[in-house]
Amino acid sequence: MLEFNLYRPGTLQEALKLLAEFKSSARVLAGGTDLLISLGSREREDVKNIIDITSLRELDFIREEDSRLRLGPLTVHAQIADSPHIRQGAGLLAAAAAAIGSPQIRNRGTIGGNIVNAAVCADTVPPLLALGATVKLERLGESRWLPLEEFITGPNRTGLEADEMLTEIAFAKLPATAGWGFMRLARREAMAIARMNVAVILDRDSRGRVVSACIAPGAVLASPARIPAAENILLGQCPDEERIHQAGQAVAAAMTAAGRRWSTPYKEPAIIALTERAIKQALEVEWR
Amino acid sequence: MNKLPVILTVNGREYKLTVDANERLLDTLRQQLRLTGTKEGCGIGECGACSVILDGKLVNSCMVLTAQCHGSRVETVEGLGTASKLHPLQQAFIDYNAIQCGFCTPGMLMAAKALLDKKPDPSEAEIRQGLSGVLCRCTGYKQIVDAVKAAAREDK
Repeated sequence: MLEFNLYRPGTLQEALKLLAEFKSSARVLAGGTDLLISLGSREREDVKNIIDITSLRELDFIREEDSRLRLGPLTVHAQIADSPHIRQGAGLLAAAAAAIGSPQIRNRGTIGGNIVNAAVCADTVPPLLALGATVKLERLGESRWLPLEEFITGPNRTGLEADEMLTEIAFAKLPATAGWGFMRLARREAMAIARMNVAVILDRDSRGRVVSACIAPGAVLASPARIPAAENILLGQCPDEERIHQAGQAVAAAMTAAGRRWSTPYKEPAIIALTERAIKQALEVEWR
Repeated sequence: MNKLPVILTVNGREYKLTVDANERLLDTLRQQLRLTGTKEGCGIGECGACSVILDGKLVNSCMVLTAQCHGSRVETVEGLGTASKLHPLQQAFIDYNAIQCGFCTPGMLMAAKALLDKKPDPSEAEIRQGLSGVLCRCTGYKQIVDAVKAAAREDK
């Protein structure tokens, strides 16, 4: 592993002070499931200082306030998967967290790390986009909130400044009338990176018409994103097989618009089927 | 690179250590404490051979810095049982031929222990999920799952 100096601040304020001092020569260490691996492969030789925040309990919380859920960035995937608040108010996020890696990874990897690392395949990002999550970024003496879709700017790239830290993730709980779906395809059932994933939230009126739709795929675009073209196909409709299929095709079209590669002919029917299943899961209809 | 003081309780015994900033928990266990039951397989968190229980949670010790563990409790395979008094999981692994080359066994045992600590009576699906972070290239997993089932029955 690379050599570096490790700092163990006792408070968020101390951590922000260290970041202000070291700026881009520093990285923030939480679960370490991404950072420690990359420090082993010598791709991060600019990193001289590591700021370990794992003991900052003030960044480890799940709170429900006024129909909003607020998560500390140190919340690990296992906590998210098991949290009654999240299972009830944002079930698709719990489902995504439960699908990540292995028990070992879920006990260690954090939601903050998953977001800041900004891998194209990050499993918690499509659900958070569908939930309309915002993220709080703090530097010494000031803070700002950004919608998640603005925060993630590309593959492994975010709007995080060198002296800033992600300190909270917040979103509104799903209304009782809303249904959700989360589907994921990987090479194995466990311990495998998602080749594609898709998060869906559909809210319907009493007559079954879709009044709001979020369809957010990941791993098939440069960054996970909502696909308005797919959402619009369902809006105002009582979705039937044909509409659901068209929405799947719209997601596939967004994927191919982002670029074609050797695997595209395999991925096109797969992302269509995965999107259809996630929509059906959200509509609570059988898909097998 | 700086060095940091760490107090660590491993298998019930407290150690006051000084570690390099980049020292992994796996290295500390194997090299400083000579607890070589914990194995290094891939070193990148994929194989689970280095699994230990850290403050009650199963983790890959290759992806944790020792300096992150100040004040923590660690359980390794050496803490499970002794040669004269095996842990029920160890006895079940022998009884069910759940060991071939043995390299994944310490990780499997710790994954199984973490599971049974939390769920004393797991279903087969829960056992398979509990063990899903440890790769075995010999047994095909069947004997290991059977052994964990038997150990869970034994515990009751």
